[in-house]
Amino acid sequence: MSEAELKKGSAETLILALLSEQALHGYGIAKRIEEKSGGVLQFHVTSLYPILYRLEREGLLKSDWQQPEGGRRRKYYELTSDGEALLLERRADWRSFADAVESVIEPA
Amino acid sequence: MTPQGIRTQPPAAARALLWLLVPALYRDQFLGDLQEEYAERAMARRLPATLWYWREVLRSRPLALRRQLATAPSPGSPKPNGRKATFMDTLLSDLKQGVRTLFKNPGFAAVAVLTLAIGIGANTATFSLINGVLLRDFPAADPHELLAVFMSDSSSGPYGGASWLDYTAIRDRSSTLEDVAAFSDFAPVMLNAGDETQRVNGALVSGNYFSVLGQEPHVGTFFDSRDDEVSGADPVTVLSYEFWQSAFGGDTDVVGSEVLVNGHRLTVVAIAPAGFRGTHLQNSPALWVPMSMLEQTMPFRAGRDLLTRRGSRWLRMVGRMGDDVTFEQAQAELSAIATQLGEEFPEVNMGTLQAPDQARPITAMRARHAFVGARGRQDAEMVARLLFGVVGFVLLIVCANVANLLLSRASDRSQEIAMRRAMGASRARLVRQLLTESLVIAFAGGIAGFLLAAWLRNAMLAFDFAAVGIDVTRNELVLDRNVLAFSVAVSLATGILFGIAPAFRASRHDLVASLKGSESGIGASLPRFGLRSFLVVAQVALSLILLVGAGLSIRSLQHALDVDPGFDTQNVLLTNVDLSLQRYEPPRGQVFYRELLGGVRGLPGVVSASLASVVPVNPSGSRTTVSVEGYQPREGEDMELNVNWVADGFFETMRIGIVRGRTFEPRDASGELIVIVNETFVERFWPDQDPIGRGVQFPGRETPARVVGVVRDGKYRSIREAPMPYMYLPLGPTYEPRMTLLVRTDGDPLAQVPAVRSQIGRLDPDLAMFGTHTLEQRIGEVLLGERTAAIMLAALGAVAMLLASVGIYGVVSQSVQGRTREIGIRMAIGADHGKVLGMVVRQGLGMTAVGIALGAAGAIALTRAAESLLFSVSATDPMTFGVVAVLLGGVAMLACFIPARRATKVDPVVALRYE
Repeated sequence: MSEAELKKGSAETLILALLSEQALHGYGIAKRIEEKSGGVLQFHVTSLYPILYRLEREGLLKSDWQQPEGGRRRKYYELTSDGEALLLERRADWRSFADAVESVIEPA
Repeated sequence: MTPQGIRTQPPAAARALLWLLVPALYRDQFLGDLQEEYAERAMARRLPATLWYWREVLRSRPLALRRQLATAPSPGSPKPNGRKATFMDTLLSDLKQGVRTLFKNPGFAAVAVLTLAIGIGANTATFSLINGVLLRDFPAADPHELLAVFMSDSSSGPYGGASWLDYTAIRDRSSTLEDVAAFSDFAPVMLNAGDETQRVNGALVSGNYFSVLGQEPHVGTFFDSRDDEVSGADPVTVLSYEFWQSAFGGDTDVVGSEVLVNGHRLTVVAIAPAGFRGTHLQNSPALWVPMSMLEQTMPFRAGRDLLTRRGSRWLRMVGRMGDDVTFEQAQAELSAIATQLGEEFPEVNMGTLQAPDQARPITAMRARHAFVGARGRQDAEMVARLLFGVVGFVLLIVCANVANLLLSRASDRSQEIAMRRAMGASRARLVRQLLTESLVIAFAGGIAGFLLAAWLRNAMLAFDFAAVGIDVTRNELVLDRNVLAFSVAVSLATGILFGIAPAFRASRHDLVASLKGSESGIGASLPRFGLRSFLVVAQVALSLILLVGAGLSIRSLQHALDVDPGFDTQNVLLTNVDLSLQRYEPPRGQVFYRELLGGVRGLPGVVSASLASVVPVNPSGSRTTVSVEGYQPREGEDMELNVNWVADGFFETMRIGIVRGRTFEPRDASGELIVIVNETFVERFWPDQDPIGRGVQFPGRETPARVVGVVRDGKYRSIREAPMPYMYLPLGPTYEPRMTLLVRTDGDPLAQVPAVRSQIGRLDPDLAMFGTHTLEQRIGEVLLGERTAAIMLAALGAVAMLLASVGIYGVVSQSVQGRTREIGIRMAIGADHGKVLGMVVRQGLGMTAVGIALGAAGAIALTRAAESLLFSVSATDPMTFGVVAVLLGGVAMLACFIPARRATKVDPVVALRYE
């Protein structure tokens, strides 16, 4: 798979995982991904919006507008219980997938 | 959140752009997100933060769009979160849809774009012509400040020339005009640079001419002197760009070098800019010479007298208004000066035929009106209006055609459209989308049309526009910003024009019926064609108008060609000599003429030869005021009549018939004053009397000239003129330095050119002959305007007719398709082929007949407006109308024929089963 495809597939999981730790707005999610991955994974925030929108539509996230003082209102996302459940599944899937790949490509 | 959050706002412009570009869905979030990051960065340093913000804005669009189109539902349907897509979203997707539609239907697209290209291209080409002639500003610095200033003489109207003394009076007395320059008409000079001598046109100008016009030279420095009255003070000259290119190959070393002008040394100080003609109406002079060099360079212009004689009106004037001076103020002051001059110098500045007690007026005109067009702005405007009318018609026809095409496709798309409406697209939304599609087609046509106009431009450059009253040089006929803007505007207007009706029509479909896929029954088919039929009727009407125009101008041309000019136009060679340039005194000149005629007449292949100061048909000629023995002129009657100085043998060479008396003979060159007149002269002044022996008093003569002969009338200044009195004087007693040699030959006149040239060279090797052509060519040139109009109208008329017939075919064809059931029923109950044919053809002819009737009415109204252009053809000439109507009717019948035949092939059984 190309890097783009890998990214596309994993973006959802990354979002779900991050949001399980704390509620974030779109830009915050992008920044966290870059920070936590040490700069290896970079998502432009605009490519995240549609995914967030879809996840919310599917009921995995919920959003809330907050009006901080002196600034624009911000839309914060957090996981729903369905989202939490999906995250657990995804984590398990990823673990088994990664282990399988590793056992194949690692020299014996 | 930073404590300074409020004050650290990202740049407003970038925010606004973001608002436009980003889908509403994410707008607020994105703005908020970016703002926070911006605030953080701006805390450190402002500028990089701003730059970063802009970069984010610009990056956001492509990403967002790609994502959005892939995942979001289609625009136009209500959004789950209640927000609509942005205007940009819908516009972009409409455009993509439009382009996609074009590619899906290449046949339709090709036809539409091609016909649009013709319509838009013709209009663009016409506009570039008009732009070059009428809209372009007069080429000078601040041209709106420039005025042409005219004086008047007794009878030639208010737009005449000025004498040098008039000019200096105006220049010195005017305070509204900060400076005034004077310039002469063309004066031919012999120019010698290196070893070649050429005869070129020069212009004498006052020393301040170029500073008044205010343009920069291409190379060098324009002369600017105030010593106009000091003879020989400024031995300098300025060359025109075109002449510099052709004679010196654009060599800049010419500037600073000397050239010989009529034997006198002048230093070239500058080259004028490309395309600069100064204030001359037609082509630019090859060189400009300051007035102080008058005597040296223009020897036979009566030398110094030209600067001192109040009555020699040989100059024209251009003035520059001061700052904050209005046109009205300048004109008022000039009128005041006119009154002063009238009182101070009544013999030359007081009284005209119309107003003998008033000072002769001084008239100002804006430079862009005065210095445009070979025959003035009115002519150019009239031609422009006509041209635009014609190509405008063609464009309308094209629009009707494309609209028809779209309408026919609309019914094909009815299912698709119905589905979209069912999904919730609003009517306005659909109309906008369909209109956008039309605009895509229109702009594609506009691009093709622009290219066509560019191609046409090259064709136009080969055409001599000056002959039809439009004066435009190569540099002015450009496709510049104006033309491009015009092209875009026309495309836009066209797209809306032909797209709006089909858009409304298509979006109005009956949902249920369309979704079921049935073309509804007989009753519903008729009103649906109302709009299309109307369009076809309009096309037919417009085509008729164009064709009638073509027909009338063809007949006009025929009549003009049939006019008897009064002489035999075949096999006559014309060439000109100018003895003034070689400083011939009259006696030497007379000898020259005699010997030249003797030599030329002796050549093999020459039937006869003569000389004339004016050769018909010529818009310019000589006039002089005479008094006629025994005739008392009426009040205000203009006794300034046309006169031509001719050598012996003139009437024989031109084959002008003699009515009474005799023609000139060689002995008339010296002897008492005689004159030959034409028939109209006799009719007007001595009706029913014997003219032979009667006297005509010419100015400056002691005794009157005696009439020795009467010749047939002819055309002298224009093919269309009414008969006018004309006088011929023999060459002897009066000497004219510039004559045209006429040679009647056995065969092709041009074959005699080398022989004639050697005859001239034998007598004077330094004398150049110029302007060589045949009499036939000259007459042909005179009719160039008529010929052009006829060709153009005929071509456009044919195109219009073709488009109209395609339109008829389309409508009738679709009608047949829609009425298949009806036809099947009719055939089932016994109608034979003939009846079916008749039914279909009747529909087509019905539209055509209405179109012809409307078109005829329109044509009558329009051609009456242009009646002055027609030559002995009535604007409502019945034969032309009749022929065109029959032609259109015949073509329409043919267009109906194919679908009609298809109608007869309908199998009733199949038709009745068809749902």
